[in-house]
Amino acid sequence: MNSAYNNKAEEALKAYFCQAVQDASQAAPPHMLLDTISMHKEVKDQGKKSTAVLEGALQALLAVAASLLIVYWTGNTSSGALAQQLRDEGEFQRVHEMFSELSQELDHGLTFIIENNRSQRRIEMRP
Amino acid sequence: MKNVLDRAPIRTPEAVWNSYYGRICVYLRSFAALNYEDREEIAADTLYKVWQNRAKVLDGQDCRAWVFTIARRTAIDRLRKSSSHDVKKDGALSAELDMMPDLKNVKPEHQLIKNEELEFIQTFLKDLSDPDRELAYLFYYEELPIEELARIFSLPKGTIKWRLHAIRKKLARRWQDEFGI
Repeated sequence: MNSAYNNKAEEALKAYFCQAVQDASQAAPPHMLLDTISMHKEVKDQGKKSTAVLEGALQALLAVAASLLIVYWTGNTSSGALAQQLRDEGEFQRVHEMFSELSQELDHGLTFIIENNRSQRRIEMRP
Repeated sequence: MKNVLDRAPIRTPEAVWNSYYGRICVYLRSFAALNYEDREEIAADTLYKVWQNRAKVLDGQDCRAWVFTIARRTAIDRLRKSSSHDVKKDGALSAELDMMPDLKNVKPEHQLIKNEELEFIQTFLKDLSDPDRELAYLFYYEELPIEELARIFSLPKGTIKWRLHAIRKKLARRWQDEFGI
């Protein structure tokens, strides 16, 4: 044994830590971790719902855009007036710009939700 | 003190909690600037990360070093972000009043250490630096080998050995002065 050390002192230190852990473990509220996990799941699910709504909206808009394009190119007789209108370059350009802006806003919205979920998770970790 | 659960597969959040919460809370007392609420939050955050990443741990693998590395990094991140330190007039950080638990009120049948030795150990630990307190806990209670300690602290093995030697010498000298044995 190294004479620079003291067995009794080291045993006392170990016993101290044992006592402290025993005390701290009894004081622990057992539901805390489960609450934390379920809180995180809730935040994630809310984020998924919001994302789903935005994705749905984007798909609907793209479907409308596709329909308009079909109408434009096929010149369907039942939508002749609409097709005629779309053939007007100015009108078509305006519709194109509106869809571009809308898709950009949807893209920004999705990015915001993803970033928000990340920071929300850090905040929600607090019991 | 090795726990049989250290090598058990991480199957449920309750198992993680029961095995590690108390140990992480005591370990986090090494950081003088953390108060009771901080330690609770960091312990919960740590256990959440352990649970989320449990797939990284193989069945039968001792995951203590991994768990305490997460706890350490989480505590250090928290301290970096925190701006609420108690500061003495001379600018030094003050030891948190609740850093040391009140173990004198433990029932005699559950007491593992005499009151006078308890007071001595608490004073001794308060006089150590934060990293030395961490080292003392991880070496004496968790019984982590030097290699694991070196990884946790990102220090060479030689430095860990030297620091442990200094802690043990200081402990022996102070004990001799206090109790004469």
